[in-house]
Amino acid sequence: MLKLQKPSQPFRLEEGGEIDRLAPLAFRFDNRRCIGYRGDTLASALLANGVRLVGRSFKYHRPRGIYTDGSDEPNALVELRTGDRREPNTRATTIELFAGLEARSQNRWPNLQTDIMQVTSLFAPIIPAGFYYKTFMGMPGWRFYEHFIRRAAGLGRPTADPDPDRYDRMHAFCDVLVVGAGPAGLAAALAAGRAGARVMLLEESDAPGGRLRADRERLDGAPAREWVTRTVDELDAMPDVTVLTRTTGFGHYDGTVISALERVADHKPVPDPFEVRQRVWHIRARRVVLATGASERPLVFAGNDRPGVMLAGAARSYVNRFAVRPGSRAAVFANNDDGYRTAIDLARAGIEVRTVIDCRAGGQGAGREQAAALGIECLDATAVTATHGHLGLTGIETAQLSADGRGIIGQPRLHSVDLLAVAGGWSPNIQLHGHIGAAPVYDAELAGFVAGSGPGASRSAGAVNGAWSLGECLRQGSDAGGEAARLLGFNPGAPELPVTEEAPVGPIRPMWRLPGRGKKFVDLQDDVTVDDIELAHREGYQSVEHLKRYTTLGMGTDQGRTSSVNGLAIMAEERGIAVAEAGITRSRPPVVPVALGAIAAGDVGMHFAPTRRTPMHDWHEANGAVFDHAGHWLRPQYYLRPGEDAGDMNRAIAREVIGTRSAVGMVDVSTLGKIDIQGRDAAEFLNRVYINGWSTLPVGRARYGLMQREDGIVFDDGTTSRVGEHRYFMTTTTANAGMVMAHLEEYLGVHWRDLDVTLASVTEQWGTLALAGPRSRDVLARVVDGLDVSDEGLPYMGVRDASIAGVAVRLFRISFSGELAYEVAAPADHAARVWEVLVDAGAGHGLIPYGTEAMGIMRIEKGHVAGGELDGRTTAVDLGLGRMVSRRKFHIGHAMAGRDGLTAASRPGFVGLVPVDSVSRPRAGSILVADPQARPPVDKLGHVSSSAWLSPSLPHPIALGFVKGGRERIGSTVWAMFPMRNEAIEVRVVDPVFLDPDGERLHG
Amino acid sequence: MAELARCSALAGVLEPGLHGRPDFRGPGIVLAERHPMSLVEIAAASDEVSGAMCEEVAGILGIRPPAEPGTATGTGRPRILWTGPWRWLVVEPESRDLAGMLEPAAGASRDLSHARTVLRLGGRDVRRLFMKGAPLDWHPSVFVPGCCAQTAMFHQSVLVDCRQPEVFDLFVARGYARDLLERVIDAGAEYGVQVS
Amino acid sequence: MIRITCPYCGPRDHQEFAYVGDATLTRPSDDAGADAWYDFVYLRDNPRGPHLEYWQHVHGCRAFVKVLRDTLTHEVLATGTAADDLVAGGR
Ligand SMILES: [Zn+2]
Repeated sequence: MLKLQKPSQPFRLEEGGEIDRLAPLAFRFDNRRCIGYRGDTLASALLANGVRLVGRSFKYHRPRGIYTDGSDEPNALVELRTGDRREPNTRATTIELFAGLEARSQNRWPNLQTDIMQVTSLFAPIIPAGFYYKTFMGMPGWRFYEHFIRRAAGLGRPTADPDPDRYDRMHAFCDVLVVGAGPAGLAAALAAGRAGARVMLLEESDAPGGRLRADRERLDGAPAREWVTRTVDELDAMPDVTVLTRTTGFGHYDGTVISALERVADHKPVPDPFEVRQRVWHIRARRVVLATGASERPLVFAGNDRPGVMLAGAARSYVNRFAVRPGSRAAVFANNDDGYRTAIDLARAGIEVRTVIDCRAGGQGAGREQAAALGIECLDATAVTATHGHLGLTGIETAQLSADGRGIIGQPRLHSVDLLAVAGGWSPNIQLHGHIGAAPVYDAELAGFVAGSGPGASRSAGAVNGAWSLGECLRQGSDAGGEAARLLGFNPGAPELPVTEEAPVGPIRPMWRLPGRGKKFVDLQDDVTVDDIELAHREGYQSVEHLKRYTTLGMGTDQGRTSSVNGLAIMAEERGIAVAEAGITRSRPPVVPVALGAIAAGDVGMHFAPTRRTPMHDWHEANGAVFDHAGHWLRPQYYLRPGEDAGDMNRAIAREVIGTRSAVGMVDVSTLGKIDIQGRDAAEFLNRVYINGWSTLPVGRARYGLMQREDGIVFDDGTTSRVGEHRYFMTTTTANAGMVMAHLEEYLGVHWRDLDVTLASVTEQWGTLALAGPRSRDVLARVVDGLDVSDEGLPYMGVRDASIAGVAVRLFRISFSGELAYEVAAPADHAARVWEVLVDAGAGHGLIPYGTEAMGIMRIEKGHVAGGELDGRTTAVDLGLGRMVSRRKFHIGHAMAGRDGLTAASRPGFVGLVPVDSVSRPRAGSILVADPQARPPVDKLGHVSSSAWLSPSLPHPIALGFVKGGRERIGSTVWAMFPMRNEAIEVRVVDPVFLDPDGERLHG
Repeated sequence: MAELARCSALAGVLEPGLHGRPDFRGPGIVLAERHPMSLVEIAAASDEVSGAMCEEVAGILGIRPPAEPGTATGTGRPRILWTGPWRWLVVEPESRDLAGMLEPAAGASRDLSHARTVLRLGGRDVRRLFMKGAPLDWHPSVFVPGCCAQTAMFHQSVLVDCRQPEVFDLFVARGYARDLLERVIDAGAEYGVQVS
Repeated sequence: MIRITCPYCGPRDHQEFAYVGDATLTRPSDDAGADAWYDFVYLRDNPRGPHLEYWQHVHGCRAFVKVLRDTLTHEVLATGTAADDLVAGGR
């Protein structure tokens, strides 16, 4: 019988902490059943359950434990949740515990305790930095090796299923944005809020307080948490102060913009219905106070990565905030007074603190005295030189340091401990400063980098600014918040700061690496050791940016927050230069990992880009249309009939072409750009923007127009109609509608501000359809009221107002298909009705709707130019439209179109192409050459610009293209080459108008 | 023409009912389409013509186009919104020939009645919804009744008119109306959207 | 992110604007000759520091906005309408 054991929390303290002991939460780690409390992180709950080994390291698969208590965690990366929410590389130190949480260790096989990949450790000496790439890159089997190397390295397993959760984005504005709600941030927000400013305060964890939650500080004679509660209550009561918890500022951009990630529902098993899981904030602040605190640094000594070695500040946090004993017998190793503070807190929590190992000589100070008074042994000028234990710490060795700190004196001494708290000093979290270019400045007193002055309206306060003491943090915060408010015109009044009780602190002794044999880890996440940095130095990768890329130092998800300063300082020592001189790598967004889903927010699936629908969309959908994207528009590509599927595409397209050419077809052309042009100078404006002339166009007539760019290349085409004395109705291609509008606006807004012309896009005001084919007039005649649609009443290129089924419409006698054709423009809300009336009226005439495929084939059959020809390289002459150029006026592109290069006789001219075998299909994009066997480089004669694979009107495929010599080559053959598909097709050069060259069909 | 019913871009799409999950206070957002509307753009190409145009429009409609960018005048029959230098949008529910009335004024006038879809959005969470869609300061002390603004909301050009502290008219190009409606309902789901 | 102050609409995100081009150039007269046109169409300075350029407020009022922008720091030093003379008087 399997006996179910009730899980217990052997390392939970009897009292204290910010946990809710009345809210136990069951969770699983590697299928082990555990219990924690609300208020725990996964890390604190694991420690409470006695779990110290949580993962294997990236490169060497070394056993690793929990190192920090926050987002700078390099070690304790786990795979969180299951199924479609499975997420790799989440930090156990930031995951708030919830009921039913499931997490698994990573980077181990078959299990965490027995990881066969750890054999890599045996070969570690031969796997230095850059090893994989130096050894395998360029070898024939690189791709083969890469597979195994990557699997051995292990990066966790993301889910392959679609993300079931919702994400969104929030744009916010405020007067003063405070990033970080530790003592400095709270004081800053309070000062600015009391002054009346709109304030936002961001806190990464679940509640404000920062280090005040982790340390036993006192303010105004009471535990500091009481001041935190009071302050948060006051901020909450201010209507224009927003406090966002679980929110990390991850990017700082020009214009005082901060981006932040809010983990709205990550602390729940699943988000509530319709609740977003994560939200990215883009906050535009007038002033910013960065109070992002500091990250503690490890000391770099042999075996410093073993589970049970932990940063001192984190150890205090686990004891004080989470009421967890991170070990039973502790030692503290420090180069500053934080060591004593840690020893005292651990001892007060009932942990047996055996010794404080201080790198510094001549120990003294209040902390040391207090520790000694608690019976803790305090060693001076001593270092940890080795650690013991397989899957967790069992002991350490210490030895006396030589005067310069580089060697040891005498024999090492063994201490039996299972927790080693390490205090190596603090590195200000200046990542957000770096994003906007504030240069880091080395502060020798701090032995760390603070932010220098940078552009913009940001300043820092508190630990990020190098403030050591709580009182200084509060004062800087209050000053920064007050100053920000004052600069914006608010009156902050006199600051009210709580009274602190602090002992003076002694100086730090920078010790970047310590003597001893064995691996000394600098970057635990990337498994970068002191040896790697020394190697990088020997191989010449000495600048901090080279060091980073060569060794991968600081390239993990923690962005090197615990490792960068140590790494570059060791390099500085190798180079024999000062740390200040070596500098530090430039930080870039994001400071913490941000899921792509959160950045994409709602812009996914059908909303990846906006979708634009024509007024007749629903009819198309109900009548078998297969849609194609044309920019944002959805356009019918062709229509399937009941019983047909995608395999019937060609049959449908042929049916639409034949139906139109033999009877009548109808196509939705609402997507064409439509621009209403009004003003006394409207004709002059058209003369300037089109290559052809407009002065003579009478009211009620349309004309085909061609636009050039300033460089003489054709830009767009379309018909423009004169609909009033000083009013024109311009149409553009679908693809260029927006660009043409902006182009015209630019000339009126910048270059020709004296012209009396106004423009408006009326694309959306009108639903338009083209009715084409020999029976089109018969259909139209049945429905049009108030207009004679005969050749006299509505001549070719005529424009008239009329009505259809009570709808006021505008009729245009224009043709893209080459058939007798009309375009009908109806106000958009009536366009579907007009369409349906025409469908009904055409039923007895064989009317068929057609899509963009049939439209494209018919225009190729007529040799009409479109996107493939107007490709940004062709001139009016190239297109065979040189006769359109008016010589009686200047227009855009006039000056440049006459350049030699654009008028050379050698330029390819517009022609039709027919496969000699009448069967092959020359692909658009094929290159035209004279000799298909010629070896490259081959003289290019031209290219295929558009291709109709089936032309129901003709017995063979057809294509349009450009060939040197142009029309002079008609009758000869060239070869259309498409090397990517190994195609070589002999084509005959013909006139580009394949059908009805005299245009007789235009008249029915 | 008035007796011919206009077909909205949202016909068959705007389903009355409750979307998403309101809290105990009820839906945070109420949404309805304003349709049919008369929308006429008036525009001039110079200060001089613009001045004359505003004068004549004031004579025809009884209200003057606002001089200040980003503001609107009128109570709704009609209301005139600033949309650009020397350019305004005259708006009212369709009941008379607004385009015809404005035709004789100086400058240009254009009927855009069919070119825009107008959503009326109200409720305590509308400003939060707008924060999701557009990078404008929607604070109730900043974007107050009488303000209008053009911006990109959920990547689409829109015109927002603040009618009351918690009531807004949202103008969007007709072809994008359905897409924007889907985005609004999706983004508003966590507050609850009552469509009427 | 750059915040650009439209002279009509006020400060907006740069995503509301479309970059148009160099605002120091004047379009030559129609018969100015090949060299003048060549300069206007093709030749651009690439200054390190303040640069006068046009941005169109495409998602807003659609006006063409003159922007004096530092290409090194991205700082927007001044903005105005197309008719404004920013460099001489706008700073
Ligand atoms: Zn603007």
